[in-house]
Order: sequence, then structure tokens, then C-alpha cells
Amino acid sequence: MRQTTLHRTTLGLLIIFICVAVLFGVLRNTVVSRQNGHEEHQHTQADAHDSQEGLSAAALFKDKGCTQCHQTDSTETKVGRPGLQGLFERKKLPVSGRPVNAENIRKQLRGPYANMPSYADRLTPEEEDRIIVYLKTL
Amino acid sequence: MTGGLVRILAYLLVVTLPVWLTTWLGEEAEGIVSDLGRNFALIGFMILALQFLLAARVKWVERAFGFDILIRFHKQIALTAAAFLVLHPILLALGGQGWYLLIGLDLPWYIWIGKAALILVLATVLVGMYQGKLGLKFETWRLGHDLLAPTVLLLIFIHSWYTGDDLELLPMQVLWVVLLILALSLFVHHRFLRPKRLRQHPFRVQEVRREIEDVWTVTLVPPEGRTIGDYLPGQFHFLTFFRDPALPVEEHHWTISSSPTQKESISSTIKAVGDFTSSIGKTKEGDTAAVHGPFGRFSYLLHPGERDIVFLAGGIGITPLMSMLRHMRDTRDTRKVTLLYANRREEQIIFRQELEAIAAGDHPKLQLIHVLSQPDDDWNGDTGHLNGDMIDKYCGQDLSGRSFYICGPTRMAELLITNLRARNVPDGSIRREIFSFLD
Repeated sequence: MRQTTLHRTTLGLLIIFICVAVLFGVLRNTVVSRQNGHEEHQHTQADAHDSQEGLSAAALFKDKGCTQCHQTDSTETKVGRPGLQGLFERKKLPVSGRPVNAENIRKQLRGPYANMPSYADRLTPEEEDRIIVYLKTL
Repeated sequence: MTGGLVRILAYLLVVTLPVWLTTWLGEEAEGIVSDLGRNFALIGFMILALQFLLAARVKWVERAFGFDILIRFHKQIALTAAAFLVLHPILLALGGQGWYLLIGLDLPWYIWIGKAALILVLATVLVGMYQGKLGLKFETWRLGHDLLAPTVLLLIFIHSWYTGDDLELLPMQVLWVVLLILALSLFVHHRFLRPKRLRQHPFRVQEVRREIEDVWTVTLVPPEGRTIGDYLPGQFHFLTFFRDPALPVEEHHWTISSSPTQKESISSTIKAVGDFTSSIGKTKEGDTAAVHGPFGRFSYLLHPGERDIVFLAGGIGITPLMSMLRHMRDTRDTRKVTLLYANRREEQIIFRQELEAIAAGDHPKLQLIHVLSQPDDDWNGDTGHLNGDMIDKYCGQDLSGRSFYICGPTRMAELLITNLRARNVPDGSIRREIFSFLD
């Protein structure tokens, strides 16, 4: 009976598709976590190099109230407030989905997406630059 | 069935191809949950793109399975794709994007494109599933499906192209573009170019003969310089009649009731049941029809080793079996055939005289049994429904070595299948023609 074969085939394919999706999802994460480990090492060196500038920018970041919403040691998004650790290692900004680059961070600071207020009047262009540099070190 | 297996494996590989590609070539992982969501979306897109291949009546694909089975697979796998695509944003939200992705309003345009696509996918699937219950006419549904399907694919393409990191990989971009072009070309070919070509060289209606009260046989002859293509007895074709301008022009599929041994013409025997078929008797000699076929795998010629066959027919379901019987007669085949033919009343028996003439000869060795559920008082034959008891009565207890061909109303066919299984007939020996593509 072709219908029985059909049902079994469809079910079989469904199960295989799910398995492939899961297995390769896991595989991708295990393979890539190794690569990340490598990158982290490079970052530590970069951080040390920029520590002077990074530190004062961290104070600015806190001073301007950014830390009230954004954790710098977490990647987790809580109620639309994304943690910013490793921001520049991601491809997209967490809420707007725009590509991660200085231009789009500036855009977000001046005319922000979603919940965040605008910092257009509260940051000078030079301060914006320092915050962007700081975000790169996270 | 090895041909079928090869095609299924090819399908499996192609559908999962983007998952292999992105796992090996993609750079960053976003966590298992997110990546699962992403993989589901990739698979979903591939399934939907290949749906165009399944539905376009491509002979190479159809040959191995039969169109009735293929179109059912098309429907079932559409459900899988829809489920995967629904899971996609949910898993992404769970995987770190946050619920704002689902409920937020202030999202980039390409996310909205994805949401629109998802809603349209669900609409397409739900309408497809409940078309009958919604009382939607086939033609209306088909028009809707023709509009929705390419739109959905295009929207998903745009959404993934702008949203997915994976679409920054060149092999993925190539795959995506190739799939989109393939799907849309098949669509245009299937819905516009081929019908136009068939329309330009239509067959001519040679005869419209009334078989019984509401059943007509329409005989078609090919246009000059053309012959009727090879077909197997029991296969079907799609016909679009061009008649009086007041009559509807719709494409429907009907079993071919003539035998391929008849080279000059090809016939379909059609019962007036639906909106369209009720006008079949108004078809006149000299009208024309576009013919597309043959399709299907319901033919004894595909199982040459069978020497003892049981045909179980109900009403108009006799047509493919009639084609096979005519073929056996014309090729002087000597196999044994038992035909149990169910109808309500005596005057509803189609092809009665011809069946009795075949039964009187030796080609094939036909045992013909009519079963009537509402006979007149003077009926001497069997009464009641065609069921397991009838099979016991005429085929005996030992059914091994026999194969069963079932064609008739859905309820009758399903009951017979249950009865045959209860009598230990293996599934491989039960063949069923499924008339409707919709249920």
C-alpha cells in the first residue's frame, strides 16, 4: 500500500530533519566555541593594550547611566535590555538587528531603536567615540 | 522502488544542504537554541522551494511515486515546513534575542517581511487543510494558492537574505538564488507556459457518449500530425475542455478508460458530480481539449508477475479497471481476474455489456460479480455492500498470492483495506487508486 509507505516516508523525513537541525546546531556550537576560545585569547591582549583608555571610558559609560540598563559582563537580554559583553563579536545589534559597526552604534545613541532613550544631547561626538571604543573591549 | 528511494535520498540531501553548508562554513555560533531555530528556518525554506518541484507534474519526479502520492506528500511536508517556520522565531527569542522579537513593534523591515511570510505560510497551510470544510471551490483555492505560494517564497527569500548571517556566505547565496530561480521557473512553466503550449495543439472531441444516467464517455483524437503518447492502462490525465463560451474552462483530472491498444483515440469516462463535471454532458463533437498526461502508477502492467488479480470497484471507480481489462482483452492476456463491482442499482452499472462480453471470453479469465446495495425485487445477483464477506465468498479463505486493486468511494476503499489487512493480505499486495487530490 503506497499510502502506508507515504506516511512512513513523511514521518521518517520529519524525524531526520529534526535530528539534522539539532545535531548540527550542537555541532556548530561545539566547533565554534573552540574558535571563540582562540579569539578570546587575542582579545585579552588587545584589552591590556587599550587598558588606559578603556578604564576612563568605563567610567564615562557608568557616568552617563548606560550601566543602569546594560550589563557589560553578560550577553543576556533582559526585558529588551541587552547585555553588551562581546558586542563587537556579534554580527547584529541585539534589538535593532543592524550590523554591528561604529556607525550603527552612533545611530543607536542618537536616535535609538525600541526602549532606549536618545543620547543625542547628552554625549559629545568625542564621548560617543570613546563609548564605541569601550564597547569594542567588552 | 529503488528509483523512488534514490529520489527520496536526493530530496533529503538537498533539503538539509544549507544546514551542512552553514555548519562547516559559518563562523559564529549563537547558542544551541538559536542555531536550532536558524536550522529550522533553513530547512523550512528548502522544503517550500522544493514544493514547486513536487507540484509541477515533472515526469521524472512523478514516475517513481505516482502523482496522487506525490501531491499528498506535498501537503504533508508543507505542514512540517510550517511547523519549522513557526518554531524559528520562538527559538530565536528563547535563544537570546528576547521576546521583543515576537511582540515588539519597532523592528527592522526585514523582520516584518519574515512575519508576513509566516502568516501567509500558515494561511496557505490552513486553507489547504480545510479547503473542503471552508466550502471553497477548487478553482478559487487554486487561484489563491497560485498567488500565495510564490509570494511566500519570495518573502522568505528577502527576509533570509537581509537577516541571516549565513546568507553572507557565497555558497549559501548561490544555493538560495538557484533555488528561487528554479522554483519560480517551474511555477511559470507549470502554470503558464505548458498550459499555453497544450492549448495551442488541442485534441478534438470525437464523440460524447452517455453510458448511464449521469456518466459520459468523452473520446478525443489527437491533432493532425500527432499521435497519442504511450500510457499504461489505469493511468489518468488532466483535461481542459474548450467548449461553448458559456461553459466553464477548468482543468480536471480523469482516469483514461480506453486501452492503449486503441491507437486512434483516447477516452475518459466522467461522472457528473461537481460544479464543473455536471456540464460534461454539454460537451459536443468538435469541441477541443488540452490534454496533459499520463500520470499515476495504478496499473497491472507495473506488476507483471501477478497471475491472480482481484479488482474491487465501486461506481465510477470502474474506469481504471476497465482500461486494464480492455488492455488484457486486446493483448490476449490469460491471467485470472476476479471483478467485484459494487453499485446501488442495476441501471447504474457502467460498461455492463462490455464487461459481460469480456467475462464470456478467455482473455482475461474474468469472473464478474455485481453487488447491488439497493436492488429491485427482480435482481438475482448479490446484494449488500462490497466488504470482507464478499471477498470471502468469491476468493475463498486463502488470499495468498493474490493482489487487490481497489478503486471506488473513499469509505468503501478504506473499509476494504481494513478487511484485507484483517485477512493477512500484505500491504504490498493492495493497490489503491486515490481519485481525489484534496483529502
